[in-house]
Amino acid sequence: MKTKKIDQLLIRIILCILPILVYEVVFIFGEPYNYFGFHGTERESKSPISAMRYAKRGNLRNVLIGDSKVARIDTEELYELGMTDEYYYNLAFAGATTKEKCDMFWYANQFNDLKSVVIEINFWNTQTAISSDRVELVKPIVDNPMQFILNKDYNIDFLREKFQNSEVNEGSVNTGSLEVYKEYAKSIWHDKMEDYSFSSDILELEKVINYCNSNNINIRLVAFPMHRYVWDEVIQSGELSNVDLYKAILAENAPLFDMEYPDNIYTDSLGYSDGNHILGYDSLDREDFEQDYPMTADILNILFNMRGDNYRMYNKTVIEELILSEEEIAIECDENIGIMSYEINLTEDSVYKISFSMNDQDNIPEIFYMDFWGETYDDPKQDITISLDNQTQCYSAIIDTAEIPQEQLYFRIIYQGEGKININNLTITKLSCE
Amino acid sequence: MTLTSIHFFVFIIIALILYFNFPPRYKWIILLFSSLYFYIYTCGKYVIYIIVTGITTWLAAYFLNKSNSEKRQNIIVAFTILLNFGILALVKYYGFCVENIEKLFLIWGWEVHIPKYSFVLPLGISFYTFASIGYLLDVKHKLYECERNFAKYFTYIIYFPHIIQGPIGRINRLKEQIEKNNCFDYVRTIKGLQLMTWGYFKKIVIADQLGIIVDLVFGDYTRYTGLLCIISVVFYSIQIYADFSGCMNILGGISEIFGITLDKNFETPYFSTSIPEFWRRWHISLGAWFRDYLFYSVLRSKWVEHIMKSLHKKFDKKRIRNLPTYISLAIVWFTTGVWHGASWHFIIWGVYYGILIISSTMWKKQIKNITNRLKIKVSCDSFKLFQILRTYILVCFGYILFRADNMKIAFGMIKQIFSTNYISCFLDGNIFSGLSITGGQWLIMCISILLLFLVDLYNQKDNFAIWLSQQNLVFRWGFYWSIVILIFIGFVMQNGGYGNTVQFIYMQF
Repeated sequence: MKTKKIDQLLIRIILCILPILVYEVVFIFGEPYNYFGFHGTERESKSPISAMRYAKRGNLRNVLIGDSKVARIDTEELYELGMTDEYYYNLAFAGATTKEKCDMFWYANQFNDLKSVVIEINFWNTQTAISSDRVELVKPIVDNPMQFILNKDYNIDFLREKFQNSEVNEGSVNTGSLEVYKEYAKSIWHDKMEDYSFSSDILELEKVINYCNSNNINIRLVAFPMHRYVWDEVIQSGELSNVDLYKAILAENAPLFDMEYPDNIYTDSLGYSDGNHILGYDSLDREDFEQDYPMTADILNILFNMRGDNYRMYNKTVIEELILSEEEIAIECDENIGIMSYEINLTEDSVYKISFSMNDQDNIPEIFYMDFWGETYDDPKQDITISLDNQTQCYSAIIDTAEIPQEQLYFRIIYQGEGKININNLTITKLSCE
Repeated sequence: MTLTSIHFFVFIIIALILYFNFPPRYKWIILLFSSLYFYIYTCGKYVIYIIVTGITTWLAAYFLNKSNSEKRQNIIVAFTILLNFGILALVKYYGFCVENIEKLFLIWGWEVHIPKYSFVLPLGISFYTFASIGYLLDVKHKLYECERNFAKYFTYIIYFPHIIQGPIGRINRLKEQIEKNNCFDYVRTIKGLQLMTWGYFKKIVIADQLGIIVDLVFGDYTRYTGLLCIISVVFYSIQIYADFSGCMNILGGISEIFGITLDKNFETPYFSTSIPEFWRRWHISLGAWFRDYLFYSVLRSKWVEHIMKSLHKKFDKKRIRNLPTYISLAIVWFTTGVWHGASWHFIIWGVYYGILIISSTMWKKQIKNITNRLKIKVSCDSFKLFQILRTYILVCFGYILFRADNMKIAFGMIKQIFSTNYISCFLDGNIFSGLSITGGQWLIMCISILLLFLVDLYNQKDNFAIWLSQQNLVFRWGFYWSIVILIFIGFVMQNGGYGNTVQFIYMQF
């Protein structure tokens, strides 16, 4: 009797939630991210979640990491058409920042025995103003299907795709004339370059490079060409030296296939959709593809096969000028706050690297913060918050000075925590390019 | 663990399976451990507070029962009350008191620095402290025997469906039900599930969605017109009702499945015709607690008696005969304000209700005379509607004081409301501009509010659940499915309870 009643109850509950169950089944089989892998190996969406889900399934040997400039490349088709020597799985996604690219590498590396990695790099996404952290944000959703099927954004994307026939997270790429390039360069790159400030994310990329080198993973970096109108914005902003420095730091330990320089023949090409993104990825199977899209064909050849003429192997080197060096510093705290400051001479619009180690792992402060500071020089761009932990001993960060006033400036170390802390081998070096 | 998380559902299912399959004599042990798990999972080490309250009140009740000396009994009760209300005051009001003492000294020109400590408010501290003190006083007044088994007593205190937001239940009523052999009951389970579903609908679909608008407007009222401020106050009145009563429905529904009926905490309060009636229908258990343990205690206290005696010498007896009631009411409403939080706006809000209730009691006769002279028909529906509207407006005004983060915002909002040109507001086009709410969201909100209103209106006279069960299959299932789909949409809008979830309003008290 009791069992019968429980059965009856369960039937009623199931009937009650039937519309939701039906929707969920439709969602699971029709969602655009191929989260559950029902759509084969194809990555239909260029979003972080589909890349991470695929990376989690394992068996990837060669991967391509980057932003929207490479996210649109159908690597599977390229391989099938014999245009690449090896199959690269495309883990790129629209708007990926340098930090996100690094996170994607570490995530893929966690589940796969990687053989080679191609990372598309660009300097404008390595600045303090851009700090999205989608790979970290999406991680719990990648690991938990319930979180995925109940997520508002993915459900809305699914419904939009089904009812409005719009593709998800592709980023809008408009095809157009030179006017489109101009407009695009002004609207996007102008703002990005206007307030450019070097970020420490480049050091994260350096860690990825060092890891690959010490684990026999073949790594190469590729900088994509851009149209003259976009270049003009970079040159006008006066950040060309930073572009060089950025590349020099990375090229120290990895081959950098650089197609991004003002006198590259592609700066005047009409093969862009907007001055930055390349046309022709959807015409790979056409016989006259190489004829119609010579720049795209060349870039793909350089990117995957390391063959082609219109690139340079970046070979400038970084010059490091020592500004401050301290073997051991002990900082005492007063009411949970500890401060140490040094008078320092800084140069305007220069990049400084700060490195230190913490040998004493017992007393890790809750908040650890460093900055360049003056009475009228107190911009968050010169502030660095470092997350200290028990595992890491060596830390480094980068600060871009930007405009500096005529006054005494200081390098400060501030922490919040209990007791005294010891900092070892503190060095501040000014970085420049030869 | 929030009530809108998947984890909570899994927890409930496991607790129910264990409960119904445990030997009848020991079923309460499942309730104890599941409640402890819930509490520790939600509050961690702060479980110590409820353990201290449990031990002290249980011991006090035990010794009260053994002692025959009234003096000794009074000492035990006073010490236990002081200790427990002291803990409550320390964690809830310490920061507020220190801040105000420092300000007070500063007015006199003394800069005093009192050490500042921040305490985490343990889950349901106001609710379980009141419930256990109520138990102690009942034992003292010999209303019932004390519980000899501490573990059982602690189960009554920590029972998870009533620890979160009350109701501040009477321990004896809970005890009787927990000790019964509660087996799986199909009808009760269906009733419980229906209650839970209705509760989730109120919380997820109505309260959380309205909360977005309310937070926006109260967050920066200067950006919005007076009309939008009024709308947000009305929305807040619906939000807080849907949130609080929704939580009561969810927890009441869960408890019903366990075979334990919780005390009623709401009775369609917005249909009240007066403020005293509103408070008899809103947060009923808190009102009842204050009435039974504070109002009557003050009314019968020796010091009130003493005041009255001294006043009788100076004033006419007739004129001051209601003074003890007013004193008791003033204390009750001041305490109600303080109970809600350590902030001046809560205290002013309590005082506001105190003034309303005392004045309505004071002028009851005069108002009756006026209505008689004007020949107003007080029994007709239109007058009743007027009374309901008047009460609702007064309640809404109180909500401005209640919801604002401080008095400055409250007064600012009131000023904004009264300094708006309402005619141009309507002529200017979209009165909702500035609120980033889509048309779809508005539609869902309006339909849901209308549904809530109609169900409450029906519940005024009859039982909506019974009415629904008598309808045709298509209508009945259409209604169920609509509610379930709306809950699902609301649930997905909150990312399924993952990440930042919207807490229940009364959880903070």
